[in-house]
Amino acid sequence: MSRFRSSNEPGGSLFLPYLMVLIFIFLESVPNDFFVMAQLKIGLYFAPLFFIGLAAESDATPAFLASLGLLNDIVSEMPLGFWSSLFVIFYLLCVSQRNILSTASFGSYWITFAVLVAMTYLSAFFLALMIGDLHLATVPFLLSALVCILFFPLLYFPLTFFRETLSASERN
Amino acid sequence: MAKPSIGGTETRLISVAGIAALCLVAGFLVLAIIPKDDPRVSAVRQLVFDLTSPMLELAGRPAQAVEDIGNYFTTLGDVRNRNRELERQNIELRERINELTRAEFLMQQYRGLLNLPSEPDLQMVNARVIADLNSPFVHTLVTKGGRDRGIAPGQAAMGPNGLIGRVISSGSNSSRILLLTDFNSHIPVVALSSDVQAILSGTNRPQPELQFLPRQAELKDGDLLVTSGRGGQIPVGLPVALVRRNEDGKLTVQLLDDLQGLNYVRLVLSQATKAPPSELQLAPDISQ
Repeated sequence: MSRFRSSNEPGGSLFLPYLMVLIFIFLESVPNDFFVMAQLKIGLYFAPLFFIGLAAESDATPAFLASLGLLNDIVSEMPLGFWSSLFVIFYLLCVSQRNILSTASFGSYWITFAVLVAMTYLSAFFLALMIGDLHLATVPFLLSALVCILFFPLLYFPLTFFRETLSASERN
Repeated sequence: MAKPSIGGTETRLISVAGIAALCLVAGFLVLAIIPKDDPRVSAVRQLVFDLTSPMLELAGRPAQAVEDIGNYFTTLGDVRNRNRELERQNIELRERINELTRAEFLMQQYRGLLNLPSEPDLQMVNARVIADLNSPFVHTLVTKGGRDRGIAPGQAAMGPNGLIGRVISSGSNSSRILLLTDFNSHIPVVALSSDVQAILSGTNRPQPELQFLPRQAELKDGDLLVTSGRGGQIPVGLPVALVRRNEDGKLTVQLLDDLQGLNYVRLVLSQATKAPPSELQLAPDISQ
């Protein structure tokens, strides 16, 4: 059984990841002046999305994620449908890894996350190529993907802690 | 939705993966059908920023506080050097003011002789940057203050030293600014020393590039580019960038302001200059 999933799926355990996705969508637009970080859009929401992709059982999950992607399109000035498609692609990729990650260690999770994020950014690259008026700055784009992968542990442990605490409280 | 009960056993019309595939197709369709610059989408974006501007402003405060703390802990040596630099700049600027006063007087005389319309004074308003949407795809800012402060689409946005972009939409309490570095930004400019006209186009990289430059144009390293006012949207004469020539002799453009980490921008409220009278209007009446 995946670390993210339990036999008695607690109802509110995905509240925090969804909330984090929502917060990170807006947080990405907050101005900062920290060196190279100012030029990047790190995509911090991918970590909670990974969590949702591995744990969510609801049929409505893809629709929720597409809606969040649509919000990200609006906030990040991208053409409508860009991030919503990518969020769903990332979700499908996560779903495909559920069984493989059922007894995985943290290292496996991180490596899987890195591969999935790289595949999603690659999809974004091809999607940008297909859209004529969307010109991509390649170096900041690659750096954004790299920083997104490096930030994963910072979010993995709080999310896991929250989920385990909630599961324990619901069992009691 | 996807789990109807038939004869007591639960069957699924469509799997979660199927729903996801449908969402994906819907996303691609939206991407293909709705253009990026659709005015309705722009209106929705503006509405979202109007609604979330208080929250974005609040979220930006910790980053501002960190920056302020960093500024506080500058060393005494830095302060001394900065003071020396400011004193030197002050002397230069005093000399420049004298030159400008004389140039302004001469300009008024020449305008009177040529019967040219007078340039309106530039009215500006300061606005705080509440969202920085710079990404590998787009380069835009969101500022606090919109129609409530007289900000309207098309107005020029200035940084501390020169033009940084133009307003693309304004809502009740926020405005969106397209930066010069964005791929969709095209600003008519003129080289101050040689009167060469060109279009400064964004590339989604830190430096925009000059397009439609005449073949015989001779631009020198350090030439100042200012807005030409062509198109009538942006006032004439706003400083924009410096021309740079690299070791290979290739022309590049260096913007006067670093567009990363801008905290405040100035928006030019005054309307762009009207087109000057045509040569026929200026010609003396020979019928008399």
